[in-house]
Amino acid sequence: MNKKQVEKGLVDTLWGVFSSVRLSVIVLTLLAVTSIFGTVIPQNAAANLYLERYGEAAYRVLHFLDIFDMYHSWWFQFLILLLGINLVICSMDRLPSALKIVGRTQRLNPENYRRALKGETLKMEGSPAEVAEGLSLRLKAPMATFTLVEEGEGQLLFAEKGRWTRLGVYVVHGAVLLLLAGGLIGSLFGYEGYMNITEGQSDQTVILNNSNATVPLGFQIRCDDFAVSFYDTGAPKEYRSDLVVVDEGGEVLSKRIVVNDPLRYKGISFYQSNYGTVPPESASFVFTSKASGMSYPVDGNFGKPIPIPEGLGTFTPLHFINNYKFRGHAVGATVLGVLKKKGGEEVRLALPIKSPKFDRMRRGEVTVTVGEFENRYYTGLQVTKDPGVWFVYTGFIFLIVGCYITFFMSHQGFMVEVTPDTSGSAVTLYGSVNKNRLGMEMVIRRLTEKLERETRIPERQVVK
Amino acid sequence: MTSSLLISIATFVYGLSALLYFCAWIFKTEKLDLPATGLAATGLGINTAGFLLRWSESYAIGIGRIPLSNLYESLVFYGLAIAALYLILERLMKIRIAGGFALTFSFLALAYASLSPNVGSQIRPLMPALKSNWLTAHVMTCFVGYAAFTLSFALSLLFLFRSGKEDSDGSAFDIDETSHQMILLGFLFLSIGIITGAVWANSAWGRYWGWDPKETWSLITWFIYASLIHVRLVRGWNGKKTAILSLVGFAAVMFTYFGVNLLPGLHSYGA
Repeated sequence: MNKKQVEKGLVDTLWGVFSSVRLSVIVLTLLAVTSIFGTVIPQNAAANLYLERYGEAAYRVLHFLDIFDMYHSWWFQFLILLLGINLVICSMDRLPSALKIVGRTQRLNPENYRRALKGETLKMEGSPAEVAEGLSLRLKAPMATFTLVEEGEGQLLFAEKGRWTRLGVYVVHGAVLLLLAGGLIGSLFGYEGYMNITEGQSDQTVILNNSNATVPLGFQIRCDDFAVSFYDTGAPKEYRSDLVVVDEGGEVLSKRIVVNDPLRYKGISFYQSNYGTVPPESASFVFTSKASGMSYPVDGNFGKPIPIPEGLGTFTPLHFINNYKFRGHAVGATVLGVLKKKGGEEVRLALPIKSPKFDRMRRGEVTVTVGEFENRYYTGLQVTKDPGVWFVYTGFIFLIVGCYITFFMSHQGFMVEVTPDTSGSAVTLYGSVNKNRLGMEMVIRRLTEKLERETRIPERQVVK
Repeated sequence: MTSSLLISIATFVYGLSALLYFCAWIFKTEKLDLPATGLAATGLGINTAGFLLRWSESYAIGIGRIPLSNLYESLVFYGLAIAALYLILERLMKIRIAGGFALTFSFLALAYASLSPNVGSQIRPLMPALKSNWLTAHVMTCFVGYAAFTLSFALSLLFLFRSGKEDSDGSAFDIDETSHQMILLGFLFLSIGIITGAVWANSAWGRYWGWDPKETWSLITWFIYASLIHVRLVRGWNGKKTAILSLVGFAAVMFTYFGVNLLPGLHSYGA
């Protein structure tokens, strides 16, 4: 054996392996079994959660096998790739001969049909030629246009339909390949990220979910308004944002989005997914002097010291916390800040918005209360770009259509045999089919029964 | 008259119908055929009325949505789908033999819905993510698929029960073939169910697939039945081998339906 023969042998063997249904079944089974792991073991959780749950040793093994992000692991992707290659090779292997079969016409061989499914023989009036002519009109609708063949004194009518349905399975396989291609295109050229935009503001960068890297949109998204509404039970009813696309200096598109109704622009989609309140940048504070009893409202910015009248020192608001806990008690939205007294002594203050008298408990020289501030929401947008989605959707349509053709349509051949008989003619229906014999049996039985009802010979009824 | 009362009555009628089917089968009498089928159809009618009444009840309390969004409502629809599909099958294929098992499943689905303390029957408003026209298409196609797989499971069980006996009338062939037809129907509808779910997910969250446990389990079920279809159509497996595979497939269906609720994920509102 020379080198070329060995190579050819290897190629043939590989071709044989990759074009086998055995491989498809093995890969499908492996995909089914391994997919279970990822539904039982939480995916992409924090490392310490896994350590706590499985211990150090098991964690290392599972981590090595990428079990914690298994659907994106090399071995799972490899299985999917294997399925894809299998599908391609299978189709290349079988499609040419399938096309050849589809290109042919019906074989008018009565013996093939006599071995296939057969209905009961009916008696009809008239010579075989007359009966055959009548039947070729009557049965054209349920069968197809007939070809007449004479066999001795008898007449044979042949018809077939659905030869093309033999290609249905390739539509299904093509659909799966489209799904895989769409997934691949999406993961190569698309991204998934988020943007948090404060009401009244614009943004043009997306923060990616996996890496925290940022991607510029190439245009700006402005959020004009955000609102959340609730049912009487307190459960959320609707989140909505009014978004405006600003591109090349002008407003090009505006849309009110809700969950299930995103904004799409230039292949990028913006989904309502989250919301929150934005800490204010400034607020007004009311300082009440213990000595004089006077109250002074003063506006100030967070992070900047505010001089307190009567020379009582300065107050610097530092943070705005939505849900602050004061000694273990939830006190709601709160401003945290530092009060610097006349002598230079510093005191940390917590000022809950809802309880203006809170600071009095400190019994200091001056009491601080939070006055008015601007309360704004930000809308949390899920941002995705997936150029593969149209491949996937086309695949979806092919998959449904292909499954329907493959499962519920078939290549059906019919033969109607009309032979001379004492009363005129004897008629028998035959059918052959490439799948679902039971269905064909039903078709032949029904058509025979219908034919009998419609063409019943009157004498027979008299005899009865 | 409330919808839950109708569902309770339908449960009872389904149970009785299943009993008659089993009696007809065991005692080999045709006298019970008509009453069994009649009761099954009556049960289906009452079940459907219950479904429709619940729909109108939700409008009466100002929520107004199709009842397909929690475990109770899905069970009611599952029972309905099984009974309807079985009756169609009985008419088309003239196979009465699966009736006892099929109606038992309808009975169990409705009994579980009405009796289990874990299943809340209150009509609640929809959370924002469920407000979509895809809800109806997604849930209905999934459950027609589940119902077809359930009938295939019933027929496969029957096939395995009878496999010891001699097959004189060729009915084993019919059972095997009918079971396969149900698998094909189930596979088509499972595919459409997964697809409508994917399109919906893409319109709600911006991705058509996210490896959520319910998604993954429906895909596992899809893989199992895809394997079955391949070994049957290409490698010529049938009878006992495919009947056993059909049982495995149905176990996956049941886990997709109920088991996944034990795992965390997006579909947890189904619990």
